[in-house]
Amino acid sequence: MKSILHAAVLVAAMFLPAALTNWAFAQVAPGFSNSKIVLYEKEKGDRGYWRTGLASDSKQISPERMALRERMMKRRVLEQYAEFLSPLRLPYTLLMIASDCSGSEWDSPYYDPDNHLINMCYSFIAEAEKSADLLVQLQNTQKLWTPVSRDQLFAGLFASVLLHETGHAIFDLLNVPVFGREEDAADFMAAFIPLQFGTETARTVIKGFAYYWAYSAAQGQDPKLGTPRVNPNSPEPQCRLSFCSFSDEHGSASQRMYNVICLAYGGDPVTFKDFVDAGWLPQQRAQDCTREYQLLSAAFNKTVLPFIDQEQMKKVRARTWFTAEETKEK
Amino acid sequence: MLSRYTTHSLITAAVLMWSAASQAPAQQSQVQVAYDAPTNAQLQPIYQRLKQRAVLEEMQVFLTPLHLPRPLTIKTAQCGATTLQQRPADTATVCYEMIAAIERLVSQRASDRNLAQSVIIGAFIQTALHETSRAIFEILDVPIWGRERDAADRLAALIMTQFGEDVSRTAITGTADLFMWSDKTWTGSDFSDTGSPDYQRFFNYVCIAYAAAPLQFGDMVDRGILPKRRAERCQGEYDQIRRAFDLRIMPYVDPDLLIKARATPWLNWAPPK
Repeated sequence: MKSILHAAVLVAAMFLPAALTNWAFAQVAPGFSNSKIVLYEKEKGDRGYWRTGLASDSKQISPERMALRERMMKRRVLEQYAEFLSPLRLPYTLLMIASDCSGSEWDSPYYDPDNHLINMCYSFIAEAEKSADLLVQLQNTQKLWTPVSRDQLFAGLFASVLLHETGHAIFDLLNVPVFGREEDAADFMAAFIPLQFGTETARTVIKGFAYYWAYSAAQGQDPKLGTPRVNPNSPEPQCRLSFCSFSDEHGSASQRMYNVICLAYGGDPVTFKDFVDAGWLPQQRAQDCTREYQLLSAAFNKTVLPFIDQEQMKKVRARTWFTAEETKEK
Repeated sequence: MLSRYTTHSLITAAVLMWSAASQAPAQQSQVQVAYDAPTNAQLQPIYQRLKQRAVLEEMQVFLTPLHLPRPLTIKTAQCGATTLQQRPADTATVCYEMIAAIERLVSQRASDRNLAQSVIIGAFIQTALHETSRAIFEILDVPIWGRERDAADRLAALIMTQFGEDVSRTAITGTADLFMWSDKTWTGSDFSDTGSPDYQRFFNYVCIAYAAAPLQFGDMVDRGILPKRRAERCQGEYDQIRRAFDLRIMPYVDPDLLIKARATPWLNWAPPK
């Protein structure tokens, strides 16, 4: 969800501008369309689900990824996400596609500010499915966290990543002043939006996010002191400091987990009480969460809410966005 | 040490003297200052020193261009900890305990007296600007996306880099050394803190400084202090906090007074006594 992202962004910046001159736009459901949110077709009729990666010479995707692409098309992932975002009054057009991205084993979905484009990478979905399988198995055997179903975990993880990237897009397109670190701010957006859509949606997204980062932290991905890298022959970038692993512009896995659980608990202490009871969030932090949520809510109200069409928002709120399977707790 | 790379043979020693104190009338400032007397006798010398050097009065003058809808108070106080858990409204508090902790760390780590003094001054500026930034957020009701204390660091770093290389050298270098010398290890639930690890804060400050003045701080990349991967993103980080400042705080800054403030040589260094 982070390291691969940067490679993908570079590829996008290199190859996309030329590509964006020719292709057609797919449509979403009437009543939920927004002329500034566009599913971008590479080939006519692909509905924004590209059969290739981004590079102009990229090959057609593998049969395995083709099957995944078809599952996404059947679930109408792009269409539904565009419909979900339809209340946004954007000053600039936002493009959305699903593609093979850089063609790597694992790309993260990302927002490309040069092209105002959100790209959902097939490889990420494949990886998220694997992660969901693993995490559910872990939960079933070790009971580490709150109960979760495989579908809920996958849907939540995928939605949280998309919302995070949408956060970047919103900050960029709406010229939102971001005083904190943008990667945290994008996580805050990923937490805030689902909290406005009722208990089931909120729990699914927050769980997907929290599980993913809790697992990453358990795998030892938090930064720690290490040996300085000073070998001039090493292909790795040199770093003379023992604490180079703290230099990432993203928060650590644990910080990201705690931040989002805290915002969820601060915004809805009843719905997320079990997270605190289960020890996901230390009491000392939990005490601060109402204040943290209020700060976030105030920031959203000031900088984003004026760009939301309230009539359209009512329609979006009235719809169910996850399937019954995807909100099932276990 | 970072200082060796980013400072020239600067510091003969150090009394912090914001020389503009006599040039701009403090009464125009909407910043009020106070030194609370500590009850802990061990903190008395710090209290006396800060008061004698009139550091808060100088901050007050420095902030004259800022026109706030209600007064901001900057004070030094005994807090019972290095930072206050419950912050009084519209108030930036620098705790004597924080200064004591800084001085302790510096006495253990700094190789000579000059370095020690410059780090203490830089770290004081960092603490004061960080706390002042939080109070400004509160008074101006600034929307905060991201963690509030990181936001205060980013604003403090931006301010440090707007007044020429002498100010930024002292402030950024002192801040960076202090965070680099941190002896706190972070594992597991430590990361649940609302504040970021000193090592992350180190890079947040250094990144903004590097983008603000690549000529001055560029050697930090060459010398492997700021990793290239982060360095590539620093211009974006700097532009973002600058844009946020321009949108939400600049409307409360008097542009003519700001020019005067920028034309003022803020840090004068007196020889050691």
